[in-house]
Amino acid sequence: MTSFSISASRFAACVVNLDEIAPRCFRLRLQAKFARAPRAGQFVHVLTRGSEHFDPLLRRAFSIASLDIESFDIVFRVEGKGTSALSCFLPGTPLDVLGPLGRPFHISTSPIWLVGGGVGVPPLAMLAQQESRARILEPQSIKTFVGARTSVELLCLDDFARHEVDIVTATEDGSAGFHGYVTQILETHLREHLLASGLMPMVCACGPTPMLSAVAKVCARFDVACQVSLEESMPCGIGVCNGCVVAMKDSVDEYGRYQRLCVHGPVMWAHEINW
Amino acid sequence: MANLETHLGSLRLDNPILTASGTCGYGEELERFVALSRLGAIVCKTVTRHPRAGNTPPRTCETPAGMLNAIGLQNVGIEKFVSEKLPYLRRLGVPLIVNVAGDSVEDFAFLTRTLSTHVEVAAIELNISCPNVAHGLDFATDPALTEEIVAHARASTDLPILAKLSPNVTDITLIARAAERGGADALSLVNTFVGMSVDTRTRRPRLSNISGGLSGPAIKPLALRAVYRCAGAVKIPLVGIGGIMTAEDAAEFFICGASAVQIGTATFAQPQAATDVLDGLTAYMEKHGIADIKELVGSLVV
Repeated sequence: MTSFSISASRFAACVVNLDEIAPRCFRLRLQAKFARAPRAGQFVHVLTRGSEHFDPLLRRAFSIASLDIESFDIVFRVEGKGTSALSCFLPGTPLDVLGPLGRPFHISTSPIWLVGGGVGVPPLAMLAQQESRARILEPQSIKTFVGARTSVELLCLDDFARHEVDIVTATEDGSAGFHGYVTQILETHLREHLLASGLMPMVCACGPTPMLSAVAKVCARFDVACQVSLEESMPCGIGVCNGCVVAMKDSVDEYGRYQRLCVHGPVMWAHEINW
Repeated sequence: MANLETHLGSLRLDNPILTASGTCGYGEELERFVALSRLGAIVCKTVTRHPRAGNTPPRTCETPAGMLNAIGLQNVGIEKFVSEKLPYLRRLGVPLIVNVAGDSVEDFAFLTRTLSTHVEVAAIELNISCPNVAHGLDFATDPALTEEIVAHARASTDLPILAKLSPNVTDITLIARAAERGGADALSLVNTFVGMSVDTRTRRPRLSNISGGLSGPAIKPLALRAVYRCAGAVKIPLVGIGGIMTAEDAAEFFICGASAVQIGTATFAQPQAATDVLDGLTAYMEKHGIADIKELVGSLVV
């Protein structure tokens, strides 16, 4: 099995920019000093405190939302002490970053449909960035479904527009796009696509676990390959602590049914997970 | 250059900075980020007689300056440990202390006997204090059982034996004396403190196991006192464990009577924490004109 963390390094990354892009949601741009360029789906593990005090104690894992030569972006919602601290850093402040870590999205030549909900959208923005460059002659092979509770919480729409991929939106309150869950509109599109005998896409999804579970069910029904990027709290992020495990349907290796999300994920095949 | 050499019974170590069991895996993952060969020894993740799947997630949660864990001793079992993990561990070029746990006195003796036949094992640490498995704390809270386990392990090997004790007892010195009577060469003090955390929105425990072991800087003062009390109760060397993040923290443990320390939770936040503590300790000793770590051990001024 390939281990991606082998290419990880630890570096001090200065804050370049911090923007509040939605209520309690921030986009943080950091200097990129990776030993090897991250792939979409990989994460960075960020220490949100200085080295002189110990609270919050552990690093926080963030997917990468976009990547340039000298910088990368993470997008997060303030939920606890770590993200709260992160939302207060001023440009120029150095942050202790470990990465890139984990397994990226597996890419094939089939069309890819990106399905994101809430703060799960950012890694899909990087996937759109990576694949729109790789598929410059056929950008129509990438389609994005973005869901949120309300229109102001729809994240990264500018990214997807910039990467010129099709965007379908859904909001729970109907304030933008389809009125309902992103999984419902995904199902509608898959059915239409199937009727039109289109080449079946591969679905790449990230969002809250109930949403991912629903996406996995829909994809299984249409026999569509589906990868999901999961979230668990990760004390170490490098495979040492066995804290961030996910229950799989079958024993995969010596670790049995419980696989460490930080090394075997965060991107996993939906059909292998014991939802 | 300060002399950092330390002894745990017949086990001689180049320096007193070790990793704590369960926080360095079997070396493979951590070796990418830190030169493990610079450490005095590494204590690898607990090995049991049979493979263990571990507890249902969620297994960890962060608490103020600490964390709770209830991993449940997930491990590959002794057979695979010997065939698949030992070869890699041998290549690391650092003394290896294997941490073992069992469900019975016989399990501990069996594991100790099995490991004794492998030259790459420098010492054995008996985990008689895991709070997250069925019988984990039964052993650690009973002086007679503690003595019996250590004595049986003692009779099964010539290797140095460390007994890792639980702080979840009314008087840790009683257990420390029992382990000493059983023939332990050194004591590792302490394992985690049993704790809880609740999600007030859902009213559910944050760990599926309901309770878990608290570690990190939050427990350092508690661990330090356990070491201090045991230093006055037994003659065998002590290994201090509990929330050590910096060289200053380590120095506190040496001053209270520890001959070595283990770095645990700090490694999760900072993969190279143990070598940072080692570098910091050297600097601290030079700054304070301490030529030998032995001058520091048990030097508390009261």
